[in-house]
Amino acid sequence: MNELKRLLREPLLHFLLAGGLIFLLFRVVSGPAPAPRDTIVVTTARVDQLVAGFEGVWRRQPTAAELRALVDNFVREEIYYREARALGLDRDDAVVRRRMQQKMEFLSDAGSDSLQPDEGELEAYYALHEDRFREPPRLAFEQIFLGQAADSELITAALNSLQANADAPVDSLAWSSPTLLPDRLALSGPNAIDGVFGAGFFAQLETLTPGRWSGPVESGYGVHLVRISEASPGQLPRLDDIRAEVAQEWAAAKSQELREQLYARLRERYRVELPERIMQIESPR
Amino acid sequence: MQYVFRPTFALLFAVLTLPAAAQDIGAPTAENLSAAYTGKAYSPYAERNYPERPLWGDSHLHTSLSMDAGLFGNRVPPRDAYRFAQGEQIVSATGQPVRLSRPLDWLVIADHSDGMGMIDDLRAGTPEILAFEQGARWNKGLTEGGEAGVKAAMDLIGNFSQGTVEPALLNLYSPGSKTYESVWNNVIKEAEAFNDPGRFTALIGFEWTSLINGNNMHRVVIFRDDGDMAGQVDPFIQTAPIGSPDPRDLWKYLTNYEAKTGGNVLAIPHNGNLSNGIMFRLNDQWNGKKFDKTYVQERSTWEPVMEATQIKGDGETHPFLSPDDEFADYETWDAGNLDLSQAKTDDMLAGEYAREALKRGLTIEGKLGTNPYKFGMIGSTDSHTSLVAVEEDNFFGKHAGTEPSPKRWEHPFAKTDQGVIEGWESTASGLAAVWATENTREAIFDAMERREVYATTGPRMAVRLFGGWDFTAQDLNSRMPAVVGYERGVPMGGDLRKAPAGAAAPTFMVYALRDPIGANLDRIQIVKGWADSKGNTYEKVYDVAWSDNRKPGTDGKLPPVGNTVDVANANWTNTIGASELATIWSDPDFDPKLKAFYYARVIEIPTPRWTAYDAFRYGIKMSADVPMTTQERAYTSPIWYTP
Repeated sequence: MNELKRLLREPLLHFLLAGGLIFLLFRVVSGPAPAPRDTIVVTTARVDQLVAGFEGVWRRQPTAAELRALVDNFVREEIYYREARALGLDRDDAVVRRRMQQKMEFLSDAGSDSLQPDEGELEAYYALHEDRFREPPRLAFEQIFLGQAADSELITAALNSLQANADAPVDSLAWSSPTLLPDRLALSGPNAIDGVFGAGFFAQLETLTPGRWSGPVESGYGVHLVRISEASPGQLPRLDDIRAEVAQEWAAAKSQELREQLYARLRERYRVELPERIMQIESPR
Repeated sequence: MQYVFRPTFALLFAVLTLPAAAQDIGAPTAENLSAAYTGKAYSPYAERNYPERPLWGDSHLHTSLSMDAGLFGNRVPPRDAYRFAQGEQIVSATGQPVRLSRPLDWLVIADHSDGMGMIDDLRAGTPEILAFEQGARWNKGLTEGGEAGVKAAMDLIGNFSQGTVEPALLNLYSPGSKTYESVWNNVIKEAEAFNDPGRFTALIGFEWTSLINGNNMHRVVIFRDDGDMAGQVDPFIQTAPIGSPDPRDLWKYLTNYEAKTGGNVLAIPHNGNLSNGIMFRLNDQWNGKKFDKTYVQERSTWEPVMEATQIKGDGETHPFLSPDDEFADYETWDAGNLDLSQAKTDDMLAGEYAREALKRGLTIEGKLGTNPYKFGMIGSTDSHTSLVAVEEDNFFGKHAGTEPSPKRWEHPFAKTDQGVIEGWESTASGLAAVWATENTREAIFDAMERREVYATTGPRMAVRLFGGWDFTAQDLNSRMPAVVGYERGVPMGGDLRKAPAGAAAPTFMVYALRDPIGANLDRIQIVKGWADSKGNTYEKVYDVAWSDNRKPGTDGKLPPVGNTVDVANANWTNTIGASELATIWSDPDFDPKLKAFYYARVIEIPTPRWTAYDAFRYGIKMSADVPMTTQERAYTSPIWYTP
């Protein structure tokens, strides 16, 4: 909404509208007689705006002389602006063109800012984009580090012993020297677990059966045996718990959609001729 | 949420660090403490209540909103900076696809508060900008691009450093103007959008860019609070009359913010190495005014952490200050101040580096009762590319002009009649590790305030340091030594008070685990600094744990770990060094009467420096003075002994 307000205050927009009006006017009154001289009306509102701009920069009121100079400058700018447009100087100016495009896009964005989804729209959007709102799966586990390069004999022996004594306290030192790696992690997501053990560790854990010692699992440090103690699938939070987030995403998507719609409608009004070489290439999506 | 900060831990923490303050909750006994905090809950799956792993982040990243970043061609906005930090692939300012080896846990986007957002309008050439001679000139250069663009950038930075930007132009992009407010509101909006408690934290912040004649006094300001509070103020700038380059005025702003909103905020100084001696002075402030009690108290309140390593050089110590430390000359930037308008002289160095500042703090505390330099250490990038990309093999440079290219090593970073900083001197550093109990704004901020943080030059090695009076070798044999560490000692950033009866010297439990996808470790060192009764200060570096069963020579020095780096192919192997190092160390030279601090420095085995990757990937040959290997490191926050 602020964008829209700001835009409505934009002198350039006013000029555009005014320019359009003048153009229409010109069409109406033009005839064999020489065109009437253009009129530039400086309204009180315009003067107030110039004063506000001055205050914004200098943090004080302009003196009378400064005020007059502001208005004179405005008139000068207006005349140059009109003449420059009449000469078509804006047409091949990259900055002006970019700015005009931005302003058109702002218009559609500003409209979409004020859009609020109704309940049905929100639910539909949430249902359609479940994947985006789903939390990543999380795992809690214990691990025993068997060293940088454990042989299969050691792995088998350790695994058998651990599985046979599943209820006994774990004596990791029986299988390797002490390690500073955490012996267990509470429910954690892939980033946290791979952050400690190295990339790919979480993916290996996901394939294990919870509740029993399994392995070997390889980390950035070496070979581990692991017992998953708790597995939490990637839960989808209820809509009520993430209503604001979903609404925000909906608004962003809607805004993009409106922008594209607007462009598509404008595009329909034009027939575009392209070089043969370009026509053969499909537009990227 | 992955971790729960239980009241029992909060209680225990308070008890351990502030014995005197625990009186009104009843004196703890050994039994009830170990019951509250054994780490051996009946259910082995119960969540632990202390930090399990360090949270990795960058407290100091610039985006396209920073004037200088934009001038160098960075158009990557905060949105993409967050996406990159979260592990997504994006396109850099120079059009190169880029991705992190693994995501970060948190990020502070800290754009320059002076002129924030101005560069976008400069490029667009808004009427307000073009009304100024400087604005029109810079707009022309920027729209022309190429050489003219670079010239415009240098011209603007020069004017900004020397305080000669037209005041009215600056006013437009200063607190109080509508334009500025909308920029700041947008910064906050993006942080709110990407902040995802438990998974990724986006702390709100900005950089206050104080320059005194080109001498760097910068601070990064970080809010603990959400946007509803941080949005109640505009950032503080360095330009008078609205702002000020005096840190005391920044602290006033921070005080006012907390009073107005009930929020929490802190400031982090950086690049003392480019301050020409004014960052950590001994007796007086930058303007020559003597230190007083208020000054040192304010400084210690607002600046609990300093940024000790980043792309513009490493700031732990300097070989001139630490001649006996063979690892002291690491990525040293000592040509001059920030804009190289004044060359460096040796007498300036003592006011620039972390270790010397920590020592000076002890002396000042002796005189004025408060230690203004009682800070923890973090690393951060200060990158102006919107990318936290400081791994040696994935280094995207300081700004858009130094993103990967075959020429970047030979283009000087800065060059004036006072000196030169070569392009190859850019340092692929650093990151901040935070021992926070959960990944939220509050927990990360609180860890910074209690200094339970450490710096690395890029790799993600996990480092623990605990100080206590009775650690023994046996404590390291438990499956989770940290449990013992918290139970019978204080973590990094903490204080040791008077020794209990029977304790001869403090003991330190220190251990380090290499980066899971990185290089092995060479050694752990303890750096000790202390002050005698006259206020003279001393330092000593002890090797305390090392790899490969090396024996110290007759001079007491440990032989080098070796070197497996294949420079031509930018490769190395983990066939030397150790994955893990750990020890219990007791100070052999302890004097119970003298104030001291202890921090750990962890050194990696040699690996290829970013220049070696550039040379290999671009097939170029660099001149012989360009270093091709590096030994990356971590600096923990100190533990202070205060009798």
